[in-house]
Amino acid sequence: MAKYEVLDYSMPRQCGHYPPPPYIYPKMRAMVCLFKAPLELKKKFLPSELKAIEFPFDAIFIAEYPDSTIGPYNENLILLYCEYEKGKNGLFVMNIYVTDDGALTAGREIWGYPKKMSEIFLSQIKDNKIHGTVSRRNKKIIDIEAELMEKTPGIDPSAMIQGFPLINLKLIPDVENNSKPVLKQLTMTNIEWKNITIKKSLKIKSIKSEYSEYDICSELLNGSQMDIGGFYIQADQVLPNGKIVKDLTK
Amino acid sequence: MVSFEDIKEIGQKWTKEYCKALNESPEYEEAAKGWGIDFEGSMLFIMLPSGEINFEIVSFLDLKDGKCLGIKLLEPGEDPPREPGMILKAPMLIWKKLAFKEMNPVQALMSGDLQLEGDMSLAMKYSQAAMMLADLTEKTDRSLFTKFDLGDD
Repeated sequence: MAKYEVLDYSMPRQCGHYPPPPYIYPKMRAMVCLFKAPLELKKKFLPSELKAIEFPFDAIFIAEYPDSTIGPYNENLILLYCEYEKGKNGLFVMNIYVTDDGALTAGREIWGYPKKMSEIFLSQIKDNKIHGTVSRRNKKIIDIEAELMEKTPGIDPSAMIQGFPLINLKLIPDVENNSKPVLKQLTMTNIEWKNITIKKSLKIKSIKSEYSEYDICSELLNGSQMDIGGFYIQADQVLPNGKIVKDLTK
Repeated sequence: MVSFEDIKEIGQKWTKEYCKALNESPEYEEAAKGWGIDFEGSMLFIMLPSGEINFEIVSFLDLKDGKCLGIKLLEPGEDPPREPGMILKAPMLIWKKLAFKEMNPVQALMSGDLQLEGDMSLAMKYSQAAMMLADLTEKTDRSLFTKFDLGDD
């Protein structure tokens, strides 16, 4: 029996590229850096169906998954705080980078995550310092150096991410018509963190983002306030099925 | 050394102005709509000793559905009128930085300078209102934070 034999769930139909959710990520670790994107800049990166809200925070997430339902890989997300329905706020997933093709296709095809492949590195903690990078097509599009702080955060940082759904614009192009997608949906997912073993504040020492004609991080990150701080977490992560917030397919 | 009596008048003036600023902000009213309806919406602001102020300054904020029903500066040792739904605690110097926008609330929370106690899911749901609580201190006479030497970091 093939590893992901769920007939007609994903392609190829007899031995799909990935299994159905939930996906489990035991002993994951991540650095989460908060930043503040100016409203006008943020509007440029949000779909028109979502309302830009300047604050409380936007976030960059660099994670290492030593194992998961689809195997080990690393991941980076850029999240923009927004309103997705009147009075309901979430984190729009602007970009995700991953190091594994199964994670790429599952993310795009199930939840609608805007994933691309890249090289992602998250250092071990050494002398209270941590370093994360995302490189793609010979450009270091994200490079973050941070220091772990002794004081514990004044708020449960895991609540800051778990408190908001991740909002995606799931787009599937039409095989016959290039002018409109065959599927366009706003989707939402709530990630869960369990068995948290480490939760520390981070002081961001530097964030650099090199311009690349293939990616859009640098304009956002170089135009934002990046000294807000962040946190480092080690936990078990669960990614369940998502929900359709709004079907925009016409 | 400064005593509570020295700050009482200026503190009471600040609580009145702050409550007025909240009630005159349509943005705060919109963001905090529903706050305190099915749960305890009151908050306690605890300003911990800094510099020449060697006692805690505690204010009880009665907040409900986007409105400020009143703010009471508590006397030393006085209990709040009821158990608050949320507590925000920081040294007076940090409150000063927040009031003058030298630091934003998320920065203060992440660095551990500002401590938030209460239901995190509510804090997240109403995070826009929380940001406005900080922003609206700008509309008050902030001499409570400048009149006394609060020391350095």
